Amino acid sequence: MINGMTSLHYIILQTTYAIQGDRTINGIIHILRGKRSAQTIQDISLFQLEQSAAILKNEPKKYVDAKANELLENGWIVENSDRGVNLSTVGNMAREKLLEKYNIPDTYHGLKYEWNHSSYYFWEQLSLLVQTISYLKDKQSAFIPVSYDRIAQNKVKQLLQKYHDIDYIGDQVYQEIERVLSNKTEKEATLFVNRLTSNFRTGRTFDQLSSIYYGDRLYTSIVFRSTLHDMIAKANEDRKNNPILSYFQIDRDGTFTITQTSTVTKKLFEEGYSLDEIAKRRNLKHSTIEDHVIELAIHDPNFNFDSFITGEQLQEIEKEMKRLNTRKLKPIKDEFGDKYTYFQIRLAISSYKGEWSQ
Amino acid sequence: MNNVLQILKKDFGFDQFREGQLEIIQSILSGRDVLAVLPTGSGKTLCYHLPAKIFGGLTVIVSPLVSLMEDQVTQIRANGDKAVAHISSLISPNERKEILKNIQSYHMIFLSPEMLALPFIKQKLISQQVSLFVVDEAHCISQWGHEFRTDYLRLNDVRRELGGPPCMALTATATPEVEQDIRRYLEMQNESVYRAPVNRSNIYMAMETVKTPREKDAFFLDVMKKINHPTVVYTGTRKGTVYYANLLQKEGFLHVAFYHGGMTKEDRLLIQQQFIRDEVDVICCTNAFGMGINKPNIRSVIHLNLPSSIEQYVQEIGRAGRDQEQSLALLINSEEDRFLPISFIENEFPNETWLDHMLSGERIDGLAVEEVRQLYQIDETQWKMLMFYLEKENVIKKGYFDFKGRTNTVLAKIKKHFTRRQNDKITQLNRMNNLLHSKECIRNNISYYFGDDVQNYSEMTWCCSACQEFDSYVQERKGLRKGEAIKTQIESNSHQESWRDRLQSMLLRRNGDKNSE
Ligand SMILES: Nc1ncnc2c1ncn2[C@@H]1O[C@H](COP(=O)(O)OP(=O)(O)O)[C@@H](O)[C@H]1O
Ligand SMILES: [Zn+2]
Repeated sequence: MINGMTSLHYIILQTTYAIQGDRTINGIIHILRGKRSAQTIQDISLFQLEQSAAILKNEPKKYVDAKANELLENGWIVENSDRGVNLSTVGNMAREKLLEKYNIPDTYHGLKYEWNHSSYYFWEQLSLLVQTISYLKDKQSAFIPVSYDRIAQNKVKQLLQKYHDIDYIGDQVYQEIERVLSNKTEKEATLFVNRLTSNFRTGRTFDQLSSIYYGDRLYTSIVFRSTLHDMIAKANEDRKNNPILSYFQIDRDGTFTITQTSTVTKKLFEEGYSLDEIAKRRNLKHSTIEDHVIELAIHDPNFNFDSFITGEQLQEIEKEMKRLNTRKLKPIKDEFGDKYTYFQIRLAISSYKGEWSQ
Repeated sequence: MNNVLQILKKDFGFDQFREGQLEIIQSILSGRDVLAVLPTGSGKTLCYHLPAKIFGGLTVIVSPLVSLMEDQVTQIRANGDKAVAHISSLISPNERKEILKNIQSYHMIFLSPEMLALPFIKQKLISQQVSLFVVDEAHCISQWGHEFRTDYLRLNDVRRELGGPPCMALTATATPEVEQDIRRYLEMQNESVYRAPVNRSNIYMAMETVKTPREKDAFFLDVMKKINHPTVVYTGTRKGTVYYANLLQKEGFLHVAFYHGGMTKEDRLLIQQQFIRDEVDVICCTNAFGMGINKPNIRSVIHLNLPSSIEQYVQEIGRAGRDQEQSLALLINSEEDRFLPISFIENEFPNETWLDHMLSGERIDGLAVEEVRQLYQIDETQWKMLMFYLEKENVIKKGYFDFKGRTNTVLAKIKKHFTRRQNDKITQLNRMNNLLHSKECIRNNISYYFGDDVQNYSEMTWCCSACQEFDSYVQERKGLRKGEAIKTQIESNSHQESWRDRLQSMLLRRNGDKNSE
């Protein structure tokens, strides 16, 4: 089977490896597809999956499920008694074999640039700008744009107004892109440029460009995105030399990891409502509100959860967690009996940032 | 007449009207209401854009397809007419405010029906002199249409409040039942009806039946080598688009792409552009392809599946030969995939099990809509369909579900509605099936179905596979193949050119430099 293994298989294997039996296959898929739930958000930080978070967000759920099933059916991934999943020996061998082939470039960072779609917004604006420049150089001002997005169109318009001179802005964009691409492999740079649309050639889709990377569309898109991520990072590090690339607006969703519904809970909580009152008021289950708190505990540095658990209590639970070497709720809860609630233990687990022994 | 022709030339840069445009424009200018049934891409926009210029005042255009509407406005503005705006969920409240504040500076405003229902927007429009009221996608007004929208039923009240300006209803598909509904609900007066003849004389229509899917593939490949391209191949399923694109590539077709609704928006746009710009000459697609696409030189449209209705069939084959050149519409049917479309129809509607799960009890009450969407991970079209009915039932408030204890009533209503629509669809499919299995002239049958005058088509050189054998069409037209439209050199160049060269030709070209092509 190893020959037919795609990058999608590999990514699932690799994530399963990282999680070591603590989550179900669905839990893993949620992380990879960037499901916006408290649980997923919690898991990403818990298992340090920041790089691969939301890496499969453009893959249809059915498709991902099917690939995961193949892995289960072939015995590469096995379920334990809690339905948590582990790699089998062959599964792990396969993972090691594929490690190099489907290596995810270091510059790729899912949580930073995919989870909140910022690399997508960046690309939308950049590709529209390049297209526009290329058409304007031929004095063609009417064309079908690669993006109808209002913000993208406004940004491009603003840039054109700001610089006036189309030749100047073309030179500048060229320099900024070229600087990043010249540090990439030929393949990566070619892939990037072939995605661009100009007045004499329409950009190619990942599928059309996948022959450079074993015909693997997903992997092709990952390599492409890793270049984009690099470009965004470089532009932000050195805004002075990247006036154009750093001009694009990519942080549209505000605080990206926090779901809207949790934000509402936070607001009420800070106004002094108890969790029960919030649940009543919002017509939500108490457990849902607890999920929100967990999410806030992980991702909102300003969120104060002292009223649910003291520093000492936290430490005590953390100690137990380390001793048992698990992030599973049940065994920890069993250890403490009624001393702590599930909710408190969850808070402790999710706010734990220390090291794990493997 | 001279006058409108001058405007056409001066303001739009076109030399002559397309079929139907002049009739429609003249009727509306003479103060009559107009119902026009025109295929996509035939130039509907011009039919009200030009009168809007003559009438002065404000032309209000209602359309339910919010993103198409935005495209349209972008296009019009790009072509130089800036006095055009659209008000829909796609724009921010601030932008909306700006537009409303300066409403007198616009001569065309596009609106979604939801926006038109908002009192403050309506008031603003009432304060203006509205000289033309356009209803796009007018089939949405009919329960028989495939996209019934209740908010369309209220359109005529609005029109009355606006002082009863002349009304133009436009649609690409309408059976006689739908047509009647449009006229009735919009209370059209002394209306003139224009219907583009469904009979496209430059399209030869063939329907061929083979036994097995395997034979179908072989037959298809064989045909593809003999006919003219560019070609659109409708495959029925998303999987099919990829399968047939691969099949063709293996047979040596270089410029093949696939297209379906599951692809990202960007990829769809790119493939569409490649096709329009002749960079790709065969496109294997689902029926998601074609909306709003205007490519005059499509030589062949092939169906490898049974379209879901005669309307759909006619609309899809109508994409061939817009340039009036001889073109082909071929449907290849295999006896074995007879049952496929029915299961398709069943899958098209939200599945009862999860409807029950989702809507019974208080499960989703109080949750954010977005949260529920993530939770259930429902197919997008189904989700939209469901949202549409839930919104109609008024159980969504500011992005949150708010059932007020009515979940069961709502659930029952929605289920009943889906069952009825499902039955309608099966009837439509049966009609298409009958067309396929009839031994009579296809053109005749279609004209009859749409209530057009049925003429004697036997005089035509190339009518349909009932009148002339498909084989003979292929044989005789084979010698007439035009050179491929494809810019093959683009691909071969691209292999030698380095990424730097290419990036330079996009961004560093100076005036006077040659295009790298
Ligand atoms: N009389 C004409 N001559 C040439 N091109 C026309 C004419 N009328 C419309 N067009 C062009 O046809 C294309 C399709 O028109 P549009 O109104 O968008 O189609 P639809 O009927 O789908 O709304 C547009 O690009 C438009 O500019
Ligand atoms: Zn005939």
